[in-house]
Amino acid sequence: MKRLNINSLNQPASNIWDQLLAEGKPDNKASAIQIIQRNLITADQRTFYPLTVKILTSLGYNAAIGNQGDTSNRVDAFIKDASYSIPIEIKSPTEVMNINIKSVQQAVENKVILLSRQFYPTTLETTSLVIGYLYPEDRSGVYELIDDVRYTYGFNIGIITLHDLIVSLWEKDFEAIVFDKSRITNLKGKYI
Amino acid sequence: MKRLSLEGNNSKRRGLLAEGIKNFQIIQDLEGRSTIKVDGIPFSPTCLNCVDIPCKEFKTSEILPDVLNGMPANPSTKVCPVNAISEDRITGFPTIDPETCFGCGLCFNRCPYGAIGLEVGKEAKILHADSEIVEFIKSDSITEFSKNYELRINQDRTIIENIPKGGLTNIYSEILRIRALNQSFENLFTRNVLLCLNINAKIKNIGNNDIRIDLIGKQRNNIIVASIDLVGSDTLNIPRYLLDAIAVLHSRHNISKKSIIPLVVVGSYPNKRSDFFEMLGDIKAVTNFETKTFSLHFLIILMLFNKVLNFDEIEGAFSLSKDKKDIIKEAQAIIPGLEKLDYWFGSNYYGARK
Repeated sequence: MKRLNINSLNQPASNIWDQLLAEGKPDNKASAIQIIQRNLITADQRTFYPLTVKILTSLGYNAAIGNQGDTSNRVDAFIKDASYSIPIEIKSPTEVMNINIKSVQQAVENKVILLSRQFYPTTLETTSLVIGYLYPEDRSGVYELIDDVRYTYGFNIGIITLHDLIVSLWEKDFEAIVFDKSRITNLKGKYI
Repeated sequence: MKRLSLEGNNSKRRGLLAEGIKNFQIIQDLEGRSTIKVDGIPFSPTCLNCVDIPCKEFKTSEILPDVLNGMPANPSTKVCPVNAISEDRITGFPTIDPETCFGCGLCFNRCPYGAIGLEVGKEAKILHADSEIVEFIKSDSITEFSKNYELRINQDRTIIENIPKGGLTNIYSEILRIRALNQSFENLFTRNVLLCLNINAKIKNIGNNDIRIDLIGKQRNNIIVASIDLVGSDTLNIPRYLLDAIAVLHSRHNISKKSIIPLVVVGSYPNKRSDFFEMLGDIKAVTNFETKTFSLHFLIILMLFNKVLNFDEIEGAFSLSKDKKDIIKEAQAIIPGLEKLDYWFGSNYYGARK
């Protein structure tokens, strides 16, 4: 089985496909994504968090891991922007396979913290992002809670899987499809 | 056996007292001896065997307030969380099993006549006496007494003279022991304390994981949504749970944001370096929801002193943040001299651990 080269994650972002597909790139997108997904299913936080940030960086965002050990800033990662910074809650597959209620609760908290403590500039409407391995189960109540949060606080919680991030990156790198960064900045609910 | 009817006197604050009597006081000493003073004249208190037995049962309207009516709530109306109060099969009077009772003070608080002697943290006893007050009550028919007289218990009265240091720790030890066997016990006990403080409240039914709210209460127009963590295992998650619960209440149940009061009940306040305090301040700053945080200890103190927790009167108080990590001033404002009465005053029952 082709393995993710964890040690190579600190290399420049341009090498990300070499890192994701250590044993060579398949010809088509579906095969490549399938291999990556299979390789990542056992990824823990140490692998999943930096990889997620690296993919976001490759998509053109100024993304960074949060300050681990800083009790006043427990957000997993940030997309930093001059006006529309985004806190990111990351769930590796070894933590939870599907994005769940707790992930959304944490994203709401992340949004409150960022708006109050102003580590980076943002707006009320800018999404607070959850990145996980799989989308929520239909019966999980996640989508209902996202609607409740938007109605009550005006916060937009966006959820996206690593799969969809990798697909977007593939399209950008190999199919010359321009990635629209506002798709995540303004994300409301599931990434489509 | 005739029983005194409390019909029409829904609150324990409204019992019965002869017309013209201005002051009714129940004084409890450290050994659990109780004295009633009617306009300064001492009487030995005695159980009047009330019809609705307020020391034993809450009313359904108290435990099922008219809010979130679809929520499957714990239906227990028992005041005693360990079911130590029963009715004597021969006399019909309430009786307390000394083996089961751990002296928490709930029934003591509920008795309108001071007829429960309490040794805090040890046991409570139903008091019986052929005293002058019985003769006084007998001088009128029970029914007429019920109709014509109203007891106005002075809210400022002190009902215990001191708070025994070990008694309260005995209560907490017992709560934690039972909680280890039944995790929902902390919610039940907290609900019962809040009921004694004049907050009608319900808790989710055992085994129901669909409701992500520990307790929901109602006091006049205020809807209280509470997260309870007596062992400190989940403190950092509490603000998340509250934000979730508020969103659900407002969005799905059309409860106005203005009426929602988030409440946190902790066993003791977290360490001062915990992000808990700053997070509550963040929530206030960003969403305008002011979370009230109490230790169970202080709620029990309020209960023992026969206080009510009136949310309309504590706006701005018990609201913690990065810059305010204790409730000392508010506590002293409600119970003057508390620093002398409570051995634990200033401890982590009143604010962040150093």
